[in-house]
Amino acid sequence: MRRAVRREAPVVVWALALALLVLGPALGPGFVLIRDMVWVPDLALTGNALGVGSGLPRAVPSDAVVAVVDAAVPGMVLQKLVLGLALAGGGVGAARLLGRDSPLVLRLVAVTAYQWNALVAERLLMGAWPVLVGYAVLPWLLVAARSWRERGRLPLSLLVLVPLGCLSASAGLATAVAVMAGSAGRGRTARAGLLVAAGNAPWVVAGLLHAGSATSDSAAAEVFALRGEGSVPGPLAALTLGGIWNTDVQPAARTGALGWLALVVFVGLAVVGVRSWWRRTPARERTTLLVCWAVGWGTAMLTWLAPGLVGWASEHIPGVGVVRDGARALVLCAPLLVVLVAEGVRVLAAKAPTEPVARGALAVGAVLLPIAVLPGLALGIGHRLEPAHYPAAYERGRDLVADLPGDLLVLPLSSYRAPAWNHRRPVLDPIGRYLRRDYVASDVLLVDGRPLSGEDPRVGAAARALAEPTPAERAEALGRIGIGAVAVDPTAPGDRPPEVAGRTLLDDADLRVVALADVDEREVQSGWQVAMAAAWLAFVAPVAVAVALAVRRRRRAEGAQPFPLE
Amino acid sequence: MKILTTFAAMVVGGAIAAGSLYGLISSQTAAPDKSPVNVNAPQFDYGSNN
Repeated sequence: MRRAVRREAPVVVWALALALLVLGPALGPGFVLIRDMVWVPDLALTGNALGVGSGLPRAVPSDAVVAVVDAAVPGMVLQKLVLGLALAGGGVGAARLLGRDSPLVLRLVAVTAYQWNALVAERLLMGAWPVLVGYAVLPWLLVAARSWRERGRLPLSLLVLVPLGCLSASAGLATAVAVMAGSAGRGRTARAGLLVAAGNAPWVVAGLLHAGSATSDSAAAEVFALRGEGSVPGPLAALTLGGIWNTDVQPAARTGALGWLALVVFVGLAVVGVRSWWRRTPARERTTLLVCWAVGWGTAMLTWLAPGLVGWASEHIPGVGVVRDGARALVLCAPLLVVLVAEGVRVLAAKAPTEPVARGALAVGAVLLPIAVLPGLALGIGHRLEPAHYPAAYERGRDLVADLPGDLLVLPLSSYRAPAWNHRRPVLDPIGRYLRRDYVASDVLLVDGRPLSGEDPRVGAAARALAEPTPAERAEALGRIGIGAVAVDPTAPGDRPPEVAGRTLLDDADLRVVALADVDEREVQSGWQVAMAAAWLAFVAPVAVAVALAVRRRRRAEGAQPFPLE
Repeated sequence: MKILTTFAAMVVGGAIAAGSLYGLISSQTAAPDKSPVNVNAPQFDYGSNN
């Protein structure tokens, strides 16, 4: 036991240190609000979170999981725990991929390579925290699958890891690929398939219920395709886990000479290590990592080579839009990349001088190499992840709308805000989540000023209602589509939203809330309720089974032990 | 020869460590990155391809 702790401790300490260095100021008091990362003090378990809202469920199951967990842990603390543990957990998992008996230096190289790369920087700046959780879970899934193959017994950890890795649609797909690639064969395929289906059930079922609006703007595929970073073309940037569509979040170091240096160094180390890795690794393990890499890089390349095809498919086939952000699939390439890089270091170390001082210097260099080629990732990616405090008006607004009938309409009808209180960082409008109501808000995305149409049909209905000539008629039309209150962000740019007749509950510089008089409350079909209840049951069932089996095994083990006084 | 390879190894390892430290310090002491948002625009972009 002590030996195991001694063996693992340096890896865990290094992974935690890197996570702290990456997040830096983001760990201070307040909420980190950036693009899609919207955390609030107490998220409600609303219809939107459960997948029965009117819009395409983009935050299923992540919002529901957060809503349940933040009943016990305050939202602010939970966000920091999730970000910190996702980063550190991924690093420790990457070290486990090499095997516990691998030399410490190689395991530390794997930790740094997994935690300190373009993918981590870009997804943090996009606010894609469920993707980062899935990325952290990935190596652990592969380790658990390896254990299943070798011991012939389903590891209980897999029953917990799969739901954890499926907090968003794209993370769920990556988890599915990893689990199936690692587990398929010898009677495991069906059980692995069931487990993956259970983990992905909430977003799949919710997506099927919204199939009518689950197609997306074909133009979005070209916008969100894998993209080059500066002078480094997309397919090459993807080899070192970069190439996100949004140039605003591409680290500056990746777009210049350091981007090319990172490519040469990491692909070079991988090439040096590939022969040794092939010789030392069992064929089944090789297949697992190669399948994951091929699916990840292949998907990213598809969006780069044929955005028109992806666009056509996402416009005509519900759900295909999930793969349009090509670089997101690169999470699947990370396990093979870090294993090959570590193996490359092993090969070079065998040729290095034997003097301890020289080997020590090379070891330090190898462990720090990812930091040297991407130094800007430190301290909240150059202080771009800074915590912010919500205006006091939001809390008052939340209390005032608590008992109102109907849903909330968030105005103006634009998706993103960049309030002064959030350091002018762009963030998906947080008002709907903060006020703990089911809400209707714009889901149109603007990229370079070009609108990409959203999917929620009630947004269009709300826009038509707001186009009515008088405040009373607008309120009446909104009431007919189930809107019971209107929340306006007066700090948002653009024209002031049209007035809506009703009782003004709050008129603050940061938030206005108006309650409408007559509301036809939106009812969720019972068929939808039954379907989603079954999906949520499937989602939590593996975790419940894991807990029950763990308790039973523990009791059995205790029962088998001799009486202490004997 | 042995001394040379030892020296070279120390130079390579030391250079990477020094480069990491220099990069970390210079990236943090540089002017703070500005938000990409144009506050005068009627709506904010989700991102950019340019």
